[in-house]
Amino acid sequence: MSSDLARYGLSAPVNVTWEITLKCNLKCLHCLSDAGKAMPEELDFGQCRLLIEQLAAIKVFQVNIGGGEPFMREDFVDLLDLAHRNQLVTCVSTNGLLVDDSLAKHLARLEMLYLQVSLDGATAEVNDAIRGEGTYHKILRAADALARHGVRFSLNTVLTRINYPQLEELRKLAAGYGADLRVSRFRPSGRGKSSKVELGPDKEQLESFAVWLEENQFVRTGDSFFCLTSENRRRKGLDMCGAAKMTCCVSPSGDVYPCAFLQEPAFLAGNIRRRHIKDIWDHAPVLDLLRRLDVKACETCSRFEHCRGGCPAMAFHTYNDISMPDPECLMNLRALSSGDSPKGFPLS
Amino acid sequence: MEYWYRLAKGTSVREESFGLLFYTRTGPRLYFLPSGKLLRCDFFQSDMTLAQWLQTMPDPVSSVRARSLSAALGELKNKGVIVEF
Repeated sequence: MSSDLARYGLSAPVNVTWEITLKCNLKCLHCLSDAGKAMPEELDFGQCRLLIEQLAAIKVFQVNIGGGEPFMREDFVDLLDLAHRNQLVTCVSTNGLLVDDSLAKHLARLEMLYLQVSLDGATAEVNDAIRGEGTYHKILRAADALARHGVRFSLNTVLTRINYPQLEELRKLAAGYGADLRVSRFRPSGRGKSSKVELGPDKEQLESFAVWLEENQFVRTGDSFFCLTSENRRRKGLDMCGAAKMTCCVSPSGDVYPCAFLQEPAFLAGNIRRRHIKDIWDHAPVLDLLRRLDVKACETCSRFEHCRGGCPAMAFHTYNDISMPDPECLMNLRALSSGDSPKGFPLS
Repeated sequence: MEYWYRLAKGTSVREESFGLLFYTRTGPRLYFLPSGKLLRCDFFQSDMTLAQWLQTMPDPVSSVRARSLSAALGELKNKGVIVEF
């Protein structure tokens, strides 16, 4: 039983990333969506309901909801209930600022909800440098409320140059709440484009992180680090990019993209206001392109079966070419460390 | 092959070209069952054992294929994806 069977695409996504609003009460330096103000044409409740019904009809299993800050939408709790009534499991990524006792009490009753609370440092100094002044204590207050009411959640940290030294403390902090730590990959999209130099982890950190991950099997990664993971961890998740094969992304206005990190005009697959998502999934040329993507430079690599070239979004944002190797794959990092030429991509 | 199976709590399943795709909320995790067209989702709501189900196929199913399918279902049971009843 293997995800090889999904390599050329499934009948429908396994999960859909849905950026339900661009509205956000924070301005995090690494925000992949460049969130802040709501988009002018965000889906209204009726259009959201239609999308939920479409996803349920094609048997999508899970919807990963982010933004923006989802709880900034006044109808968000109703939309969550609607998704669950349609048998969709939801995984909601929140900055926690609107989570109080009343909301935590409600969320505790939702069996089909997973919650991820973003925290980007184990101290106020580091977290607030990324997420904004005063956020550290507000996030921990949210975590307190969630734990008090028995809501299952994970703390989600985007790995950066400045929080890398705090990973162990972050893991312990999460454990203190009975929560998992989930570490996500910094990607140079959205505001991450301009903060890459300041926040992007360096190659020594990424290499050490690969070792740390192997030693910390219970730390979650959402498979964003599959280009770094060991054989042991590989069994826990994907060994290829899932974009257009197992997942896709819906923007606040209903645009469909292969993944949240490829929300660029060149990768627009369609809009759910005009076409059923099944039609887009089956027939959009750009999704087919992702399914047939060959990273030729990687085919002779000993780790090819582990990552199949890595994250196309990283290649796109680095080289403007999705067929290039992931610049942060383990083999290329090692080559750079030893002074050898990395495979298949320019050093300049 | 004399067992009746149901989906475990928190498991969903759908049909794919290769067979069945299971999703479990614990993890969450995916499980791929390359059963071709031999099994459908409604097998897990039926009152048939695997042997009885396979007898309803339009073409005979070889004993090797049937045993392989039975073993795969046993593996899914051991992983908590499906349950015997």
